[in-house]
Amino acid sequence: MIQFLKSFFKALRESQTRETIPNIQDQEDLCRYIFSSNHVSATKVKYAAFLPDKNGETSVFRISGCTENEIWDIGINHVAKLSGRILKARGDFAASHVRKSSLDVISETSRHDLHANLVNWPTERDEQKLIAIELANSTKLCKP
Amino acid sequence: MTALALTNHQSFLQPPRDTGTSVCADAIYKLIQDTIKHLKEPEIWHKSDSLIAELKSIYIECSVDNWDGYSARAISFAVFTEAHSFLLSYPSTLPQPEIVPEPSGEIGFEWNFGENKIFAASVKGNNSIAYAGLLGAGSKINGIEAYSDSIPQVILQSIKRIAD
Repeated sequence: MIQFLKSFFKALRESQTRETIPNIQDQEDLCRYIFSSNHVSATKVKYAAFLPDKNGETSVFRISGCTENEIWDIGINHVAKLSGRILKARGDFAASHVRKSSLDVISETSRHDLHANLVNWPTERDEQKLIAIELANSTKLCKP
Repeated sequence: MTALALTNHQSFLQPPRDTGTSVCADAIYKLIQDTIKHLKEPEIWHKSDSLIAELKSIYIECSVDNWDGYSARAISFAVFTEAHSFLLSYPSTLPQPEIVPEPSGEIGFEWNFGENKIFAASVKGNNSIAYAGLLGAGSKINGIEAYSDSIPQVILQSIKRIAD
């Protein structure tokens, strides 16, 4: 019985969380956590920080309404710990910039409620590069 | 007094015939020879030394999978050698790029001159270069070109355009 109630309330909490996280709006702010020092310069995020992984996605987080401390906390205690690497920086940008290209940003909450992926990357590497450059062009570099 | 005796010296870049016999004359002759040797070397050898060192460092760092924390592919030796060849072919008269490893295992070169003036090209170890860039407000370019020994003109022209 206790086990059943635990499962019930867990499922209830998760469904409530999903309901409180709406679809990603154009005006929302997103960030990309960066673990390679080769992907940042003194003042800029380099395009390669946005290129998709082998699954054709770029992992980002929704940060609208979060404080600076909360944003860094997600990066350090959730993303960095999972990858086993040291967080070097993050790049902040708006969802609207993502959707100016062929890309979309969709919520993907299996790891964290605020996690999302940039999807619909073209397959040609020069086309990917152009989109990544456009994203880097409109991204603000933040360092811990 | 010691003097270096040079006879019938036709050109500054031709080693002169040394008729001096003292230690100092020998030292001056060696200095002239070294200077001529230095002047005859392609300028790229000097200017790209630091870039080559950076390329080697990036190759070592990124030659294992997941070097970016997001499951990036390792950079292969074939990619490294093609990137090395790119740097040796790159004209010293143009601004130097920043070397950027890509999650696909490619090595990219980036020229960033501020907002809307960013250009990048990458090698994959298969004799091709993918490039893309913002060449000023409203102007974009992208494509893939074959690459063997010389860098395609479209890439050099794009760099010149945003550097001016």
